[in-house]
Amino acid sequence: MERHFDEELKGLHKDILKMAAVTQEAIYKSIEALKNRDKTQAEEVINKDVAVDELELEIDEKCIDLIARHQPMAGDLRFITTGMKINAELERIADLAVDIAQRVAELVAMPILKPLIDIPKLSTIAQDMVRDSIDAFIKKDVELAKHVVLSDPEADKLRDLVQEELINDYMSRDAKTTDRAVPLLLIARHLERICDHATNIAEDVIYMVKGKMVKHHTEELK
Amino acid sequence: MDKPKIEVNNLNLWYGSFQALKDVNVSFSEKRITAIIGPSGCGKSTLLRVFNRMNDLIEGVRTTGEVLIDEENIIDTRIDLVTLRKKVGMVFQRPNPFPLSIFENIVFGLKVHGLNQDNLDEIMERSLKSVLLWDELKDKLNKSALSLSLEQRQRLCIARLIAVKPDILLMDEPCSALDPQATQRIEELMRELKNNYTIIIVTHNMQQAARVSDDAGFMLLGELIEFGKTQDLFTKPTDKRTEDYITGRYG
Repeated sequence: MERHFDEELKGLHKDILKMAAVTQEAIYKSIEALKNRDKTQAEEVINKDVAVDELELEIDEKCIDLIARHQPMAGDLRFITTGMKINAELERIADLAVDIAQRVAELVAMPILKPLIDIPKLSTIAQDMVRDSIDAFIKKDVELAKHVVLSDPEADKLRDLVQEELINDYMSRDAKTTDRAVPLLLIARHLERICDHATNIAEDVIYMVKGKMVKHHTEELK
Repeated sequence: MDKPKIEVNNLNLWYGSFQALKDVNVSFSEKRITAIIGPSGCGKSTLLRVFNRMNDLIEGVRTTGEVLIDEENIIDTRIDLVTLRKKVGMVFQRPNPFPLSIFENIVFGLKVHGLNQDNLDEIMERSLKSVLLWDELKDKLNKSALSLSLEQRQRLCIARLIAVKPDILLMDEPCSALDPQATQRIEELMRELKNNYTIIIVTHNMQQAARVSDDAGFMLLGELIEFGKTQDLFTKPTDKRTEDYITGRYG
């Protein structure tokens, strides 16, 4: 039996996808701005964040309204509560894209420190993880969600590599490189945090589909 | 799990040729509230009425299987129904106090069961206190029970059961005639009573089942489809038929 409620749930689903699209665009543009040393593109990301924040509030209100009016149960309840959590994760991801864009704006004012190798690799992992976590949400695909969760250690490893290189090969040897090395170090950290939020989304998707909490028990997924 | 208060094994029940319960197997724990939900005609009230043999009043009823209450099979025809119904009390949809005084309503069960009536004052106070009516009614015990509000009447009906010291309280849609505030207060009362009694409630009101019960079961067409912790049943049911019913897709 098709319910009127289903229409409202579809509307929520659509809004979350819109939020995901805006967020993914913000990450993409912040990375492109870094690669191309493009200050204009970085500023675009920074300026667009207000719209992301507004969308977040809109989705949150919709979820609260659906809970209050329909008192959802079972799969409906899990979908709405997961939607709320994914919404918050996406907003944090968009904030991190803004953080990256701000670092880019600082970097373009200075000469290039070094060619970027590991940071683009890390950014690819971050973009893939976000995309896959959202795909897992759309397709209710637990296996894809598990894949996202299990990809996170790779991101941690790359962040550590970038950090070690910048500290040992640049800042320790020549303190004058610090003002260019620190923004890069922070960007690696922001990208790794994006991966953490994508992991959270994937864990939420597993709960939504299976009713099983895997957060903080990821070893069980292996 | 502790020893169950009620254990149902392979229970089948027919009204003439119509099978109302189909191979029901379930255990009810002591001093917990268990809710049975399901659409009209699913057999939930029939199941409830098995526990105090109320179905015996209907002609052509046939029951097979066993229902153990404290390990005694109450389906056995030799069992004393008056004793059973003292142990297993029932509250109905419409509060049904006798058209007698409040006092007489409480004493009625004691008379029927031939119980000691020496300490009537104490029994009166204990019974009415347990349903939180004592302060309101202690000076009006001779007034007609029919002068009470619906909620007070339902409380009085519960007090009337408590006077004969039952173990199990069966509640068949106990709040369906009450407004939301009265419903909430009866639910609070149920939580109080849980400390001393095993409660089984049949309800159409899913939110009520979710709010008030510790365990819950879903019935459909005479079968117990799913039974478990209330939290699990309402957040992650394992059977699609349960999911469809509690999310309103059934029908």
